[in-house]
Amino acid sequence: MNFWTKLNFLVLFVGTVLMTACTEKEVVERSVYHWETNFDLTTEENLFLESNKIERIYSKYFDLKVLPSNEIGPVAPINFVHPPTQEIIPVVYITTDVFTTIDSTEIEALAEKTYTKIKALHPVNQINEIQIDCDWMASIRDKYFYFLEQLKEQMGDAELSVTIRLYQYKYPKLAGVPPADKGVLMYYNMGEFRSYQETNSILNNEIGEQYLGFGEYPLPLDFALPNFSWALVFRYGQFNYISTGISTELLDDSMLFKQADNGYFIVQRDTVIGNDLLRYGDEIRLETCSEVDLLKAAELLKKEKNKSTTRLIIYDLKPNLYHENDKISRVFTAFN
Amino acid sequence: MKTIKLVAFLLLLISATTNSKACSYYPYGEDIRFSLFSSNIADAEDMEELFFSAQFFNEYSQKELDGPNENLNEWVDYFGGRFDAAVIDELIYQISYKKPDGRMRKNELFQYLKKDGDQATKTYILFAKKVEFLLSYDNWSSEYLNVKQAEKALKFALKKHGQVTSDFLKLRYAYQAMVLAYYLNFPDLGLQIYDEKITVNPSESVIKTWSLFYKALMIDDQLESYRLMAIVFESSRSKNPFIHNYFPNDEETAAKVLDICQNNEEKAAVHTVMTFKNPYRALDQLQTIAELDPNSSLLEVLMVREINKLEDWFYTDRYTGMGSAFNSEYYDESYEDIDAKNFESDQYYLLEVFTFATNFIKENPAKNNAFWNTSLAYMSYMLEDPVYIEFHLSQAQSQNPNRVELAEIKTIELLALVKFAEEWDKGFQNDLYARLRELEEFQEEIYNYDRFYGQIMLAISRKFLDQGDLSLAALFETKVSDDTYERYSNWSDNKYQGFDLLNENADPADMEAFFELWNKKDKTNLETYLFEGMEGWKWRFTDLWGTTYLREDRLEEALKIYETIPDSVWKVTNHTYHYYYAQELHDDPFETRFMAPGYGPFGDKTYTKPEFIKEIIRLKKAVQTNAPHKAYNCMLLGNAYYNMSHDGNSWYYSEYAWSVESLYGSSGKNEEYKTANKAINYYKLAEETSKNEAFSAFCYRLQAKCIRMQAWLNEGTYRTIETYAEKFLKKYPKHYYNLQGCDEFDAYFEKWKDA
Repeated sequence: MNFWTKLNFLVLFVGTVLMTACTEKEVVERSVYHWETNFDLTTEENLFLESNKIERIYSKYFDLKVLPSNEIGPVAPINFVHPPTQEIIPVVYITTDVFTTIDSTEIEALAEKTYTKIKALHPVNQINEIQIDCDWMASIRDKYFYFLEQLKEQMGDAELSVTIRLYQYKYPKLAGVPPADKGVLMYYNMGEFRSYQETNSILNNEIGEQYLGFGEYPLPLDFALPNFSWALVFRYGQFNYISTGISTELLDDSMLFKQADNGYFIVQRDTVIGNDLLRYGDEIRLETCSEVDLLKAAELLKKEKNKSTTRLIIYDLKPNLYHENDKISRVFTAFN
Repeated sequence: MKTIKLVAFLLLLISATTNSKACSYYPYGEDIRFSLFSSNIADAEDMEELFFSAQFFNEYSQKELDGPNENLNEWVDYFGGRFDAAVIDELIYQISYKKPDGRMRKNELFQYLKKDGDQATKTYILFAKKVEFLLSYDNWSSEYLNVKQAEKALKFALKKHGQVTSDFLKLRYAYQAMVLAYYLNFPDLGLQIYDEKITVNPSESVIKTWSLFYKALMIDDQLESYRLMAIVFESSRSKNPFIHNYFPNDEETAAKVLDICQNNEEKAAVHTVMTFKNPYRALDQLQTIAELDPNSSLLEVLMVREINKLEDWFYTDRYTGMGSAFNSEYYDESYEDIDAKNFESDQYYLLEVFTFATNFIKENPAKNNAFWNTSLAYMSYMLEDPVYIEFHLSQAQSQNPNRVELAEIKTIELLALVKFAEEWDKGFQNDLYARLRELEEFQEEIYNYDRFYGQIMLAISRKFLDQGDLSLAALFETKVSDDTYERYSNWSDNKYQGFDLLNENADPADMEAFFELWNKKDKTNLETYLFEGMEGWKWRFTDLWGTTYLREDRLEEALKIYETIPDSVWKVTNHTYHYYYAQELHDDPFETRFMAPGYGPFGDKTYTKPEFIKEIIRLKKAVQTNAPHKAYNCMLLGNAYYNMSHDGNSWYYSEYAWSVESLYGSSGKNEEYKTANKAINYYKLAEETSKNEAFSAFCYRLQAKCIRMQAWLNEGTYRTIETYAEKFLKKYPKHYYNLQGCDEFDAYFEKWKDA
């Protein structure tokens, strides 16, 4: 092979490699969380899933908690009234007191029972993935990680995924990296909702940004973004409660509420909404996830991807999500 | 280029203002709710969950027994009082059917049934335990109910119902059968059992009411189901939390249920359930219930709820003081205005409730007068009416009050004693001390005693705080227990609470009064009690005393106090004196190489507080007498005052807590801490006195640091800094750019020798 032939070959080879690299497309798989006890999707929810081509639903199967009897057990197990056509991925939320309470010798049995319970609740035979949601900290890390290892042993070929909070993501050396197949970075709940000075404790990119860009996380990652809202009631500048009865529409009632320059809604007269008492002068901070913030979040998180196929999971599936169909669709697209 | 540099300079000036995070302390709801009127005063055993609470259900439980008292009491009677309720409760409700533990063998009732008791009773108790086990949900199991076992149990219950002769046991077997029929989804059978076996049983028993509860769950007619549930709610207690949830929230459905009620008592029962669901003022509903059924067994419980609500609205914010005052710039009204309006409106409402209660006992003299008069006495206390307090307390005491009522009477007497006390004399103190001790005898009767005790101490502390007697306010504050969340809460040691209260409120005269009381030779019992455990805190409080002088720049007086503290205290590296003095006093307060707070240590020299004060006094004298290097001395004084401010390196000379979040944690009594005005004045004097332009410019730059802090901490504007920067550029064009950052500070500082 003469020099020119060699050069041509080299150019062809490099070009092929480059072209391959250029054409390898990153894939975003669209998913949602389902956090209700009854699995009985409404028409609107089904329409939302179909129009966004969502093929996977991460559904909370139960909470694992310390019961009043001081035993550890599953609470609020899911009831599949109508199983969906989409793939269901079981999620188990574990409160941290489980691992402060449990003795290490009992962890293996807990993992076994957890897996058995998941299987019993699962509407089909095949389980491809199980997700564990636990806000672990240093004091329970060893027990939690051991639990994950034991659970993984039960699961055969199925993948084990775990949720990762922002501080765990930024400080993997301090927080530890869970022994799982992959993680889901929860890009929400990033503020102190009880603080009067907080502006949006659900989604605040200024805060979120501070946790990003610190190098590749040691686990393959998927991402979760919020799309929920809540009304936080403050009395004399002090957090009082989270209202379940206050809606955006209700806050439009100028006889009941007046919006101040700082965005808070001020109660104009004593009133009862559902089980909630609002007193004259109470202040309500409505926290939502705007499209602008979600798009910005999607842009920021794009840079954190560490695999070619990444799932973006929206928290959570509710009937009104259909009315925000376009917004969520644009967020999915922005993450591409 | 100049513009860019100006912007850079401005950015540098404001840079330290952009990163802030509050210290997190946000207790709320039930943690802070204030309540001194015992929720259990209306004798509402078995329904604690419906006591007034900041949560949907009240979670605190004072209940000693696992099982419902209303059933246990029947068993006590059944055994002719031979066994007390706790023994029966243990056997029936506590010992597991599946895994009976050692308690079983020791249980007196079990032993009795095993040896002497009739077999029919023993068989029933074991069967009832088995049914309870069958119906209890195993969280790990995928089966909600073992149908086969349950069906077998149902047959057994029906068979036994036919065999036993005791009506007491017959009724219970029928009830168990009905419950099993409900869970097995055999509503027809369940309703048949109710009609044929339960209603005809001659026993008077709560079991009949519970059976009606299951009937309500099994019938198809929803409105009728609600009506029956309301009857159960009124006649029984232990199913009430469920019924509270089950009942509709909307007035429209409630109105339909009222339409099918068969008499006024039933209507009153429907109103009663609805009233328990009302988190707001429910006087109208109380009046309706009283009119429809003055004998309603739950009217008194509702009355307690109403008083507990009023207490919450009256006192929670006022006493715990957890609210912030951040909003005033956004609203037409301040929190104080809003609070005043709400308070006025609540007072008016309280008066209406008071009038209702007064009329009710007038019209129903046979009612529990001890309860109603105790309630009226407490409301009189809230209305600050000593005449009515006395009247209703004497009425209550004359009506043979039970222990819970008596505990409340004692509480009101104590509260009234404190509220209307004019003198802190020996007689008052002895009376108060005796009453505090007396209350300790009622720990079992007073609802949530630990929280109660903390809150009564808080109420007393706040009375003295409002009155301006900070010594007593602080001492009672040290007695506020850990279960009470409030603005001075400190879980490491309650003495910090008293310290913090003084730190936030006291001036030198208050501290002098505090120590006068502390050093008093012949303390009363109460004073001795209040100072219990304070000895180890002497130097910490003395330090605060000196610091109150320092905050007012009364240096000689501050020094005099500081010098009473042994030198070893200032140098201690552990927590013996409740402050890590050596670690805190680690920077040179005259240091000039300023950087952001927290970056240190700076300077070669450290000073104890008296040494620091002495040095300030020396420098001031030098300045006053125009000693050499006046400009330099002025600058050092400026440094000392700046370093004691929020942004300085030695804030701990004048404060005890610091937060990047503006003034959070500071005493609020320290103007210099947030303004550094004295520092500015000394820097100005240094600038004006200096004979060296570079040093003057440097002192001008140091003033900029103070201006920046003022702008940040005192809601100043960017414009303030901008204006200052513009003036700087105009006044010292040669030095302005060199002094934008702190890189050149050392070189400029050295110019003092030429100044």
